[in-house]
Amino acid sequence: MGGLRFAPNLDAPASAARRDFLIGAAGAGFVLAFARPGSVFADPAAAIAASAYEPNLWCRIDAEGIVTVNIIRAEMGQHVGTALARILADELEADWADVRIDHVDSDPKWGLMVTGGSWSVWQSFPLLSQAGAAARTALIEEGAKLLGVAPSACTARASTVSAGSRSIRYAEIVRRGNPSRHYSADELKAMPLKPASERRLVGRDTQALDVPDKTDGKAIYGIDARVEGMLYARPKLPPTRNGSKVLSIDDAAAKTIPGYHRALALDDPSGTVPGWVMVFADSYAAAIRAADQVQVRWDSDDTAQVSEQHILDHGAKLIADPDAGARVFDDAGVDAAFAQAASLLEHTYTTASVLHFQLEPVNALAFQKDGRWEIHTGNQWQSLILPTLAKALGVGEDAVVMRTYLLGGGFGRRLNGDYAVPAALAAKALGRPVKMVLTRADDARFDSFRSPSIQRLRMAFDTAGAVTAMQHDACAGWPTEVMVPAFMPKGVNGVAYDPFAIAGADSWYGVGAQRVRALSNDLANRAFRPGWLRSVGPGWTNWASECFIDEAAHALGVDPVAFRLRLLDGKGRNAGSAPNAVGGALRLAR
Amino acid sequence: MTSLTINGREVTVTSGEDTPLLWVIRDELGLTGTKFGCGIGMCGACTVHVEGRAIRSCITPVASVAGTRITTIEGLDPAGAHPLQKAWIATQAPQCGYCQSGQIMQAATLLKDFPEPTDRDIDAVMGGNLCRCMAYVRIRKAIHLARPN
Repeated sequence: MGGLRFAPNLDAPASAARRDFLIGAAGAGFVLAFARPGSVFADPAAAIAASAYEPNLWCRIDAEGIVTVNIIRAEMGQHVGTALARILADELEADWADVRIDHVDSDPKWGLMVTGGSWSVWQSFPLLSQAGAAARTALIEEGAKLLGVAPSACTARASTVSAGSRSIRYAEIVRRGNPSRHYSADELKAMPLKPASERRLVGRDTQALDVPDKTDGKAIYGIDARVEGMLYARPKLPPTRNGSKVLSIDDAAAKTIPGYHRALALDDPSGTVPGWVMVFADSYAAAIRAADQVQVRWDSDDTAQVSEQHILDHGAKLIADPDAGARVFDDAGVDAAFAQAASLLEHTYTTASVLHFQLEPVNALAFQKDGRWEIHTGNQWQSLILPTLAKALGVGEDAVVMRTYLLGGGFGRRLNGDYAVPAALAAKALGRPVKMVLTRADDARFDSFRSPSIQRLRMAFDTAGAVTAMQHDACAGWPTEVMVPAFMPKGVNGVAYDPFAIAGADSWYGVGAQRVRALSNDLANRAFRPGWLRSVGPGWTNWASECFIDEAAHALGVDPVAFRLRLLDGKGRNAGSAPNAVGGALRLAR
Repeated sequence: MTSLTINGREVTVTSGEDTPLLWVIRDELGLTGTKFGCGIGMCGACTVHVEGRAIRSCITPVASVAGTRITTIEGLDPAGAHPLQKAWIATQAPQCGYCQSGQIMQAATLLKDFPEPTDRDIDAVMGGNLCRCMAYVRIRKAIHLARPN
């Protein structure tokens, strides 16, 4: 295992061990939530209640034959619901015209809810295929009974079970039949899948189900969520991301703004938004203006004076200490190769902070309903922020639910759901629904941006100019350390590291003995909240390593492409792995 | 109190006269298809038509458009089947979709002014409508597809 490809195991959500997949009639009393034919995120008020057959957690088929696939991934422009629904529908042999998608809320039954890392399709593929195959099997069995034939005599195509000249639609099976099979999670995993040559939907061009609503104004994003009696809020952001305390609030000037209510310092037991002041008004336009007029004095820690250069300087100091950081790879012979090298090359690379600038500024609507806190917002990692929300609100996790909306851009910003916390705190403090929206400027200041980085790369060559060793040291702020330290694996020297912040340093080139050090920039981690932006680490690691390879080629006086081809020998750490990157490094050379 | 016609409907709104039209449309009238992106007229997500011309509603005080006819994305075509909307679907132009109402409203006036736009015309007129997902290539393709002939 050389690679640094990191992804949580979505195949085995936390509750999977306890959960069996029921194949059975849902019963007439089952309420079909949010069935919105032809419309993905249309007005929730249009939800239709009906009875449906729910073969497993991932889909249901109603008496009209409409197949609804439950989507636990966030839609932010990748049309993920369409992609996932086609995986299930293909095995189900469903008529695609009858397929709908339902972006579900954060019920624990879904297991880990996170959308990022380009994981959704390839990680969900086995599970959703098997769910579709199980549903098809159950429908064939019940259809066979209704047709009076053996299941083995039946085939399924386009939402129809056929045996010879006789056939029955899935809709009719749901209406008249009573399928009842019980599949354990293990049995579902053992479900046979059809060969790729039999796929009728996957791999074929189609139109995304979410697109039409994005052309006529019907698509509902987090910023569009509303509820009766809500107050609008805009924050006054403290001078630092962490370590600020409110000393005083002067809202005298804001009182002249029509619609202004009040300004309030938030008390945050979760420590997510220290020093935040919320400004409330009847309308968002009034909240924008009032916040401009409210004067707040803060006491802030030393990070108020920290610049990007300070962070890079601090990183350079950490890299200079040979004992610092996690040794992700540390081959025997690295030091010897450098000591014996005929020639050496060393360069330092820096990258600047990168903001997300997703077009929809972060926002959240929060209120309490029937004893439960509801958070309405677009989010990429519900499972990450729910425990924090519970802590902030002083309730159990089962008392908080996140409702799902379209994301007006993600790019990783909404993996960090910190923006939901102040809305929840404000709603609790006021005892009424609060809709918080950040202005563009607020959003930029509160961004959880990609950390600046500093990297040192070293390479050793023998007399023939062959690469004998390489060392790659990368220092940056670590989002995973700040937000989800339990996700950090340990390096060979026992020091934990952020896999997202070093991914890409597992070179696809054969570079001889390799050492990779990942160093956490603790000043960055304090001064702002490092975030995941797109691929995170490869934003700096691959940039540096490819620049370095180029400079190495020039130093050796060889063509950079020829030099790369020589190093693409399949012996690098990132040589590719089954099932999704077989022969990766060698294929690059072709 | 300001009276105006929105998507063919006469309304009187109570938001203060200096309230940006965007918030009147979204929060008072509940038409959320028009989006808030920057609040300073730089991104185009809030684009609507006033008397058939594309304007940035986030920097337009509601009093300044009193008595005018305003069209939002919801009113561009009663069935959502304006040639641009059909072309947008045919080319699968949107990704996250957040900027697309503004893009379509801007493109609608583009086609009125330049029924057969060149790529340069498109770039010149659409340059103020930002798409963070970088859907520009498909937006341009969709505009060509929606040309009247």
